[in-house]
Amino acid sequence: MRLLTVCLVMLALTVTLGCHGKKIRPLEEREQVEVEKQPKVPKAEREAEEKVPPIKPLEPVEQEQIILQSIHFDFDKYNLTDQAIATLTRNAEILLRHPDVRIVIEGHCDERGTDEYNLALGEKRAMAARDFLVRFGIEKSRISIVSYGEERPIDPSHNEEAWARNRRAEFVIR
Amino acid sequence: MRIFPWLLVILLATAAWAQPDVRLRVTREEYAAIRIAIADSTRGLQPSLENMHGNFLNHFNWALEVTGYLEIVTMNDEDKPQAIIILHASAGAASIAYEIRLVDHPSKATIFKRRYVCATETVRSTAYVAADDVIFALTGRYGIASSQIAFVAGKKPNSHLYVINLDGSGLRRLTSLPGIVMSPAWSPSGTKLAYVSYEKGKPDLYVVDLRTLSTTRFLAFDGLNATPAWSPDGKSLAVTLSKDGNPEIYVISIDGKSMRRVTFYSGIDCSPTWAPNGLEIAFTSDRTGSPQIFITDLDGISVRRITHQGSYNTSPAWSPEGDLIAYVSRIDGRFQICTVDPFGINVNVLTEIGNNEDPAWSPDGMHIAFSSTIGGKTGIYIMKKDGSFKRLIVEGFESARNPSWTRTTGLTASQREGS
Repeated sequence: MRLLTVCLVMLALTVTLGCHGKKIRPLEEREQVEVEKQPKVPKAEREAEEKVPPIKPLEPVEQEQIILQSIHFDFDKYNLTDQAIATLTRNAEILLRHPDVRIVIEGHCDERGTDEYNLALGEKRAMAARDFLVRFGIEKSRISIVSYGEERPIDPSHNEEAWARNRRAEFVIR
Repeated sequence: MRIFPWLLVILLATAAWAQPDVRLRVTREEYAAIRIAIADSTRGLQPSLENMHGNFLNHFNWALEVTGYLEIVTMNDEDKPQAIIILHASAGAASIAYEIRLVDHPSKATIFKRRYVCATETVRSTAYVAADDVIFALTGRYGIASSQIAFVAGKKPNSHLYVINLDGSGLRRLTSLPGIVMSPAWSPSGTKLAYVSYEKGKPDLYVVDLRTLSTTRFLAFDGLNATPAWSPDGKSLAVTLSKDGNPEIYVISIDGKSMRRVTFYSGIDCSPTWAPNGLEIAFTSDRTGSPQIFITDLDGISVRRITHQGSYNTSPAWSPEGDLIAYVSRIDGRFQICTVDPFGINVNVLTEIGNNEDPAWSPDGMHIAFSSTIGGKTGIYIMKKDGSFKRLIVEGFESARNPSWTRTTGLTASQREGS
């Protein structure tokens, strides 16, 4: 009983002091303003949305077509370029919205260099992409990786342009 | 005192590489071919055996010349023959007996004399055995005529694994369906091949027994199961696995009972190749920022870098004699075959034209097979270990590559008579 009394006194004091200082709008008023800014959605749905990390509301989830773009690498490298990070971020956001989707990341190389080293290089490229997605919050168990080395070029030409296209990690939905 | 154990290790390792061989060795300094003349004293063979005799001579000559360090010359003095092979054929019922005598010239001292018997179906192999005996007597090592090469061919990713004799005969396809297949590696006995196949959708390691053609999936860990290399005693395979989160080198016993990890680095470690003494492994690693060749002991403790030129050195292949490591180096934007000694000091660039990859040593340690675009299309070539005498040996396949070379087994001493 004593505790309750103390609390009530403190609450009264706070409200009184607050009113004397800066003028604060009543709680109900503030809520109304914020609600007006948002589209009118049932409360349950609003709460569900709030649980999802910072994602712009797109079309309804079930209508979104899942397109995961490939990322590209420099010659003999498996570190992620700025462009690759931007693409991976978009891919990660899509995967977060689709928690049921499982993927295979394929690591590929251009035709230059030895078959064996390129097999390992492709593996490292796939691993780099996977590790980024995992750090972004995608469960590791949703991702498997496979290296194809230089076995599966998408452009069979023998020039810089083709080589750049072939040095890639692809994201294939299982 | 602390330096003493290391000195001992170095001395022991050096001693192991330097084979105690007192026979005549063809060294780089005396790399000029040995000139030999063939004197055929055969007379009056019945016509039905003439053809067989002609075949024998063709195979015999080819086996001598394909070594690259024997040159067949005439008996004329201006050709300066250094040795003469005196060959005499005599007819049996459906066979020919050959008496072959190798004599020094001009001293006429007999180096060896031996009898060989062949029937129609054994003409080729008998000619190779006889030639190998001549080569051994002159150089201290057998030739390469009786050898075979495993390779991969086909437009990627639809390839097959093949085996072919060096003379182009005996082609066998070992895979039933086209797919991704790579890195065939002969066991030291030449009876088994380890290779990588995507038969189950990912790189797993298979072993096929050439005698029974039975294939087993030997390793199928998560991730890479790649780049197999048999230990010199044939009891273990060094491989690249990424099961622990990174491409690393492991040594696994063939009976599957033991596995040890040899490399410990967060980047790429791959392509192991054994020192012939079985104590060390050369491999490719990007631990210094670009792929380079390193040598490690089997504990992964003592590791040294042996390539220092350029920013791309891969695919090491340790020679059977231990003196050299062949590898691929990117020079001026193209890929070339080089050799370096195990101390990383003497480097030789052996190719200049096109892209050249996948070096593999001949069983005699005198030649290197490699895949090359020298002729415009990818094919398998061989050359002497100093880069001379380059010849296309696997023709008619779409991008033949990944050679592995072994001595042909099954040639028996029964073709020899006497000593």
